[in-house]
Amino acid sequence: MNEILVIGGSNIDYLAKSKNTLIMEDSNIGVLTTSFGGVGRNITENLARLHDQVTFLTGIGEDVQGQKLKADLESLYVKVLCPAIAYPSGSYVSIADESGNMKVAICDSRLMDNMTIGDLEPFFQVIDSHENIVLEANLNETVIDAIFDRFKGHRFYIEGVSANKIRRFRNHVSEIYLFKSNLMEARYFLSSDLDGQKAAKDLMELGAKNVVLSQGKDPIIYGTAGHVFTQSVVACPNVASVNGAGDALFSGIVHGMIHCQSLKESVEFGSKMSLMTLQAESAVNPDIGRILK
Amino acid sequence: MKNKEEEILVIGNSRMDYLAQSGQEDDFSVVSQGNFYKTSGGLGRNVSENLARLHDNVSFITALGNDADGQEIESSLSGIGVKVYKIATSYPTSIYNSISDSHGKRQAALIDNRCLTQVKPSELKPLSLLLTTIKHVVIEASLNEKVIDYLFKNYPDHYFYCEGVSVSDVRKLRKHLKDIYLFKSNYDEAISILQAQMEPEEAVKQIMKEGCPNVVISHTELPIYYGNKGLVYREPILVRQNVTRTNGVGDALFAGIVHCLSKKVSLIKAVKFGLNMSYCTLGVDTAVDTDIARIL
Repeated sequence: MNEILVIGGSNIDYLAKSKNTLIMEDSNIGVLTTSFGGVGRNITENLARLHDQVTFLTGIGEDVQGQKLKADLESLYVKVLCPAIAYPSGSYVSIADESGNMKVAICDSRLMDNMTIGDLEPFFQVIDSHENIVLEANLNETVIDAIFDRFKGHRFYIEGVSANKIRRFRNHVSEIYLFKSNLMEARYFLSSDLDGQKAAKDLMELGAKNVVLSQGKDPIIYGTAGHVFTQSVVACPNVASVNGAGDALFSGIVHGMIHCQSLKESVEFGSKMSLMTLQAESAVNPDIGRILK
Repeated sequence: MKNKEEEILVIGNSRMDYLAQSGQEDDFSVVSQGNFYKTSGGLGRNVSENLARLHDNVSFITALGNDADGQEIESSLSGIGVKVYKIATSYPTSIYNSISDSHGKRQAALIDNRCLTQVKPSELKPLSLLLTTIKHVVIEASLNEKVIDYLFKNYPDHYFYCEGVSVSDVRKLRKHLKDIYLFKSNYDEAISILQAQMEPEEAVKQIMKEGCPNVVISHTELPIYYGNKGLVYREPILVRQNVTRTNGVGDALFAGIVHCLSKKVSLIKAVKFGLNMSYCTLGVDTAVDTDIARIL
């Protein structure tokens, strides 16, 4: 009943921070930290830590770090399914100055970019067996189109990811059960500079059943059954990292909806998860499960 | 057959190079789509691999973290016959992280080599038998200064082959010039150790005057200046048209010279051999040409 299938990206994040003033075009002394990321992976980990039964369909390379990422999720009882695609695991490499401000970064997403629906064919039965399917916009458009075309009638929960990538869902808004993005992404999606309330309404008019638009520190706008509401955001006094906060919000909403909570209750729950994630260095707060107590 | 007297001990850095290059041709923004790959590097590691591929008997003392990078480096070196003596550390294996534009021009780079720089002389003491037995010792200036001092103090009869590494690190070798058998650096490093502006030829002479019998100074694409027995020579580099990557080229030159000098080959022949190795390394996308033995 509460089983969730997440189809999305996994990343190895390599975050380098200079010890002293960063000199561009030169070698600087600093520290590199490696962690696991990717929107789909973060959502999966969050849901697993909330004790949901999660299957994760993603692209992972044959490299050491990719296999460690897979093992890490499996240790949380996630069923990880990987099509065989001959590219290295997705990577996000960034270099930040001594204050932690990112100065330059490269995202290597060849694996996800080159994934085809044919690669997913061995998993069609698994996809079809899940009513609740989370999709995120790191999937390429061809794959997104094929999933919507082939698996009609499922509940699709989609996360916009970025202003450019969210448009990959443009052909399927009427089939989306939950549309979640930030306001800027929604504006790109709608190709219009609307205010949040109007954007949420427009998305519902286009057929999205439930809409959630985040705005950073400003209230979250959400809509269901044609009506639009707002949910204030609790300010975080001790932000450790903003990385993964949006993924936590989305995960919390999905978790709530799957457990038959109202959208209002789900957004409240997601906001609490986001707040907890802001207090953690990692993209997912490893202690997020205590929110259930 | 390998000669025990020609056995070489390398003490230096192993690291994993994390190299990311933008795939966006004209528009290098703060966050770009691109390619990322990892490859083994580090001067000590590169020299050890080069020497092992030239069929030298190589032992390698290095610091490796208890992580996937460290395991990968250790197993790949062991696989080609290098005897790796690992100094355990709580730090991660050294890394070099570089982000470049679509033309390969470096935008920013970062080095985390705490793993190596935190090694203390006391951590070499359990390896004293090895250090006593092997007379040809390759060291790099990025080692902790106390470790460098310890080696020169305790093994005065050894042949030390030293690489300058950087303008700041090379100064750690200043007080040991008379005990160094081969000093190799680039021109900027040579100026840094001498703390005076002078032409490359004069720099070679000056370092020899300090007591170092063999000196080699490279200068990117300009000729190499080198000297021994008071004489200075100049050797043009071999220009390669189809350069794949420049990574590891200097290490190959150094390794080639060490390989020859440890076998009592003249410095003139050693430099030519080293340059040939550099030329080959320019044609591969790894820091070491895995087929380098063909030049033998």
